[in-house]
Amino acid sequence: MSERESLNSQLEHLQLRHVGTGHADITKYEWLTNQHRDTLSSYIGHPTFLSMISITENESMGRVRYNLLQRMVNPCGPPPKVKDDMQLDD
Amino acid sequence: MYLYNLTLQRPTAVFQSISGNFSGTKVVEILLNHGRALELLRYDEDGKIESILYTEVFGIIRSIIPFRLTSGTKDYIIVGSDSGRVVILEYNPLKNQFDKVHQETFGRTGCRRIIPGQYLAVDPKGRAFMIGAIEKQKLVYILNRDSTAKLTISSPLEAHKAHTIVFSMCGVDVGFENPIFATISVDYSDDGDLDDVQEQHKKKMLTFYELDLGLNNVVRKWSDEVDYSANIVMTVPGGTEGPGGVLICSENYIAYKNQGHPEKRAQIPRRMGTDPDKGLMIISHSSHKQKGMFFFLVQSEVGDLYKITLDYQGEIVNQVVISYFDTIPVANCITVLKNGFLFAASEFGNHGLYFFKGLGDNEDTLIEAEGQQWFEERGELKHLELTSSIGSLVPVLDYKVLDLVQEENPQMYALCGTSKNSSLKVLRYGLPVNQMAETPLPGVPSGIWTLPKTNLSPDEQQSDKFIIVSFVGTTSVLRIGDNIEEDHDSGILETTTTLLIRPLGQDAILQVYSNGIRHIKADKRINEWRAPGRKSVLHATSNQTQVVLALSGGELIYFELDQAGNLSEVMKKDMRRDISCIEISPIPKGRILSRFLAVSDWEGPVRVLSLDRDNCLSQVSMFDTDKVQIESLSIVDMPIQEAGVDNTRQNAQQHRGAAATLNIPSTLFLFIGLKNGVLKRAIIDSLTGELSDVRTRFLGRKPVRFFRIKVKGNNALLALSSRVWLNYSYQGKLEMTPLSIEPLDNASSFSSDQCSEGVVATVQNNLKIFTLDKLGENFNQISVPLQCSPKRFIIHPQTNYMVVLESETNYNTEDLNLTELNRKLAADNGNSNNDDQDDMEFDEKTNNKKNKKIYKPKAGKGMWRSFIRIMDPVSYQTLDLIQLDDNEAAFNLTTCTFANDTDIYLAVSAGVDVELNPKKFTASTINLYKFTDNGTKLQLVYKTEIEDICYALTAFQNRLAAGVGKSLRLFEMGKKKLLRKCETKSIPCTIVNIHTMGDRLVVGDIQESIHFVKYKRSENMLYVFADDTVPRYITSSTILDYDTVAGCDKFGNVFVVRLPQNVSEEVEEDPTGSKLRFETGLLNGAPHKLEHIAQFYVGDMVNTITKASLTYGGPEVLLYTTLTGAIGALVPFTSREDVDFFSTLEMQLRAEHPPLCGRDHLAYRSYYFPVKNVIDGDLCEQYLSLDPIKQRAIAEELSRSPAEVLKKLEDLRSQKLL
Repeated sequence: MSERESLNSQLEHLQLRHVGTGHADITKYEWLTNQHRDTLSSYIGHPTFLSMISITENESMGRVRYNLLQRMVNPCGPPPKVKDDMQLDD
Repeated sequence: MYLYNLTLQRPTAVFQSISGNFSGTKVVEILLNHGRALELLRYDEDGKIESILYTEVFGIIRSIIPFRLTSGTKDYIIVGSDSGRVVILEYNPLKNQFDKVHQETFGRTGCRRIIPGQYLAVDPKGRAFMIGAIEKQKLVYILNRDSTAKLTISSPLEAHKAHTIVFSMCGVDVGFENPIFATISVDYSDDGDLDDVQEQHKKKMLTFYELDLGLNNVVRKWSDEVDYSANIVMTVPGGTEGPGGVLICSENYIAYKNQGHPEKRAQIPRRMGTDPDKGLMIISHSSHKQKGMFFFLVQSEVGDLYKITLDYQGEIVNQVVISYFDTIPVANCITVLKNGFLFAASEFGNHGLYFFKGLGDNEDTLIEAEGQQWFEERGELKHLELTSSIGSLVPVLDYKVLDLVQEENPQMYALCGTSKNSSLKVLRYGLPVNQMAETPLPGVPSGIWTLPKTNLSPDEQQSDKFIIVSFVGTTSVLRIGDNIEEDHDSGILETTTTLLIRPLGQDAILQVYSNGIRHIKADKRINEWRAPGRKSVLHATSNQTQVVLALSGGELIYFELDQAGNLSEVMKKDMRRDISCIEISPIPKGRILSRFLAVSDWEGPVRVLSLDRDNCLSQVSMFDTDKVQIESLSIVDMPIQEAGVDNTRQNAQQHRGAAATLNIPSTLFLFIGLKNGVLKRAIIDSLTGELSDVRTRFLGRKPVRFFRIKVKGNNALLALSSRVWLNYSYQGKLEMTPLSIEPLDNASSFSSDQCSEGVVATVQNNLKIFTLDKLGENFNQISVPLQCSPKRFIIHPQTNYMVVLESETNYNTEDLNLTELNRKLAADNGNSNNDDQDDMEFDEKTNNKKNKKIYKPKAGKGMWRSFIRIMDPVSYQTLDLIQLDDNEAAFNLTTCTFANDTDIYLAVSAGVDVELNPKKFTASTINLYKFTDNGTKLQLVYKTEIEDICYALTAFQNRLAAGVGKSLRLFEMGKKKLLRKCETKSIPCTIVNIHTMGDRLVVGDIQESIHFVKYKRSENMLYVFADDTVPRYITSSTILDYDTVAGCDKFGNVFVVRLPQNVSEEVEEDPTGSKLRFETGLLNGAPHKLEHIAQFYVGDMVNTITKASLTYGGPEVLLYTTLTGAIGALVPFTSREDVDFFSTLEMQLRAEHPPLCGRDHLAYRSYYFPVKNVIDGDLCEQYLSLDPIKQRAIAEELSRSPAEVLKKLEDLRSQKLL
């Protein structure tokens, strides 16, 4: 195995272990989704952030937590249809 | 500048509560998660809560769960935090602290996406637990006990699944088969099917993970789809006690699920009037299990409690039955306790402990309509009864320290709560007292005492029989019964002024008056002793068996009670000086006689004399008070852990086998009250009588006098000066706090059938009885209810009236017109004046509260209601209440004046149809109001339209400075609207606050920290000349001096920044402003940068920061409040020596006493920015809870004794703060 390949496989391994780590070929969508998921999980993890959102939205903390978790599933909407766009461009 | 961080008021928000037998006895205890601290509570049969232990953990606690090994009797606590570690704690009742049993590291620190700690689940049979992250990672640890019955923990087993978001987790009760954990999760991985709308093909799955104890691995055993809105999974008792499996809560439905069992769904009944289109969500849950039955109690997001029972046979569940139970405030967590209580940790507002009056077995009638069951909300509790509540400030939205009512010390004003729980709280430093009775007396008494019914055992709690009040020339005896009546049959001489009266020996009474002693036996036989010759008794002191008299001329006479129960003179001594006060020490446990007597004369020092037979009345030690006359002496033994002294071993031996309760050995204290209002306290060595560890404290303007009372069964001391102070032992520490009560003249402890432990006191010619229920609370609160979520308040500069801005989105639509509203408010205010405790929210009896609780559908996003209220800070009467119309949302307010106009105006910024995220509005205005009718009414002058929402307003040199979005503007008053005079657009995002000093404006940006702006009057020009180097999401800031600003941000940082000296001078010397105006910094920043002076991470979102002194004429400190209801202070150090001392102490504690939940203290305080120049007093004060060996080791490093270290800690708090 060449050095480059081994480096790649090592990187891949890291990517797998540490969800949310970026790489050279990351798309804007992937990056943004990761950012959003990180932010949302930080809001859920720090109880005071949760209270803050709950106060501003005037909803219960349980509801806010659920809303944020639900948003983590798909924080930036569906991924852009890369192939279709390219076909259109062609 | 060096600062010292201290928490004045602990956080009151509770994010999670669990219950268990943490002490290992039968006592059920409650453990609260305050976000950054753990608190252990106990409650009695009457439902009165007592805080046992409060520990700051210096980390963020995300989840806690109780854990009990199979057939164990003690619950351990598993903590998931931001430390990247799981910690198992055990409560140690002997030392009253949490011991860390295990600490297993698994990941990085911080509340991250894939680091476990968010969720915890235990196997109901106590064999394993699972700790999970929001995404992907789940770890299972097996717990067991070794041959010495110690808890052991295995290495972690992974149950990861990539691309899944976990919503909830619980253990499944499978009896003693392989443990199973259930999770609700969504798999978000793309499966290539991109044409589908994502949300629709995502499925929420219930997954069972089985831990194979034989193979030592975790496998996904079973997975099934659940409703997409599912958010909670709950354990159903299994094995022999129930069907097993889980309950899934989702919007509108609760379903039973188990492997190999069909789903059983039940609809949640809805409250009449709620919006049927909006899903009803369950947000908190708890279960109760006892022999032969179990049920679940869940709470919906509008506060309704439901009881869930299962109709089952064997392992087959036929039906899930949901019935409406009661309605209580919306809780973060509800906990059903084993002995018929329910603890509800409210989201906002007070927490409550409820007693179950019934279990609601007789069904309420439900109304069927539109395929849905409905119920009518009950105005009052039916099955529950509130027994006690814990006051909570959550959330503090605005806070100021002011002296509006012209008292000696300033008061704290805080806007607290949201929507229905909104209130203005006025906090005064002092322990709240609960006044029971007050009656006038015929004259001004000179002394007051109580006598118990029998005096067989002094330790036992028993009610009193008599209150004896002594006047000049007379003594009256009052018998305590259903009524308090005079009694002439007690044998007490009523025609003289009594000096001392107390129980003596087994069942006798001792009365001392100026002519001698009357020893009244149980059978009313009286032995008298008369003072010899023309001498009279001046002072007397006594304990159960010993009496010492001080006669005129300086003679001391010492009596002892002999075997036959007669008083006999033992020793006489002429001190050759008139005695000013004497005090005998109490009898130590297990002995008959005490050994020490403290005596002082009118000019000399305090002498401690021995009462031993071989050197009776000879001096053993002396304490000099530097010629200050002594008013009063007291010797009290209190259960206080002495610094650096190891007492736990003997303690453990005493209690071996017995119920393990908190038992701290008592320490003998000598209190000296001086004429100049100073209290001195020293520890008396119980063997030698040596005095050590002297502390001094100023109490008030009057001479200090002492009265012994009982607090929670322990000895305590009231020190009366111009304020009333209480010395008592709280959680093993000696606390000294003022009481929120008028100055008292005399006091004594009191107990009757109605009031088991109280104080009877006299104030001039009034007799008062009060109790001390809320020990440990430092602030007495007055709560004034408000209409909706408060935002900010200001003080009118001339009338001192408060102007409060209230504004709330998504409000509950209550169709109340304003007159009705005013009437209701008036009623509310009337109540609050009489009642200085804040249990208003829970008071179900008053009608207006009933109205207040009725829920109507929420208005929805973008719907607002806002009020401006003028309130009198003395009577708390609302003088004017204006509701903003047209769906206006108010954001900020200020009073201001304009040139050529003497009136004071009120400017309020508002937006119409505002949505916060993403920001939307149809109009934004600054409304200008005029104060009329001596400042009691408001009149709208005009509204000025602006193009962005204005979050910041302040008066500036007869103009109005406003932050309109990112532009800073100065307005002048015009005929029809405000006129824009000057503007700068150099602020990056959104201006959230503006402070002014001279020609400078200090602007806080919502994301980009502090900016210094200069106003050039000659050029009428604003320009930013300095800004910060780091992004800070400013929430509040305050100017410290011309160049220095303190601020706090959304993430919980408090910081101080300063303009470099040369820049400050340069700005002042630039006459035209042209030099700085055209100077630009790098990357569009300002030309100059601020220096960081101090930086500290608090651990909560910090909402307000202000500079104030808490006592009249005291030093100024920085005070901050957090969203979780905590009030903290940053105290500036005044000497380099102190800085060195405390930073060394902090460093030592970091090393010797690492935080409980495994977070590194230094890393925690440097969460977002490295901590700088701030020493953490909360950590330093944990020195007291260290074990004595460590205490001594650390003190040695500081080349001091442990007592000296404690003294320094105490002095800093008492001298600089309160």
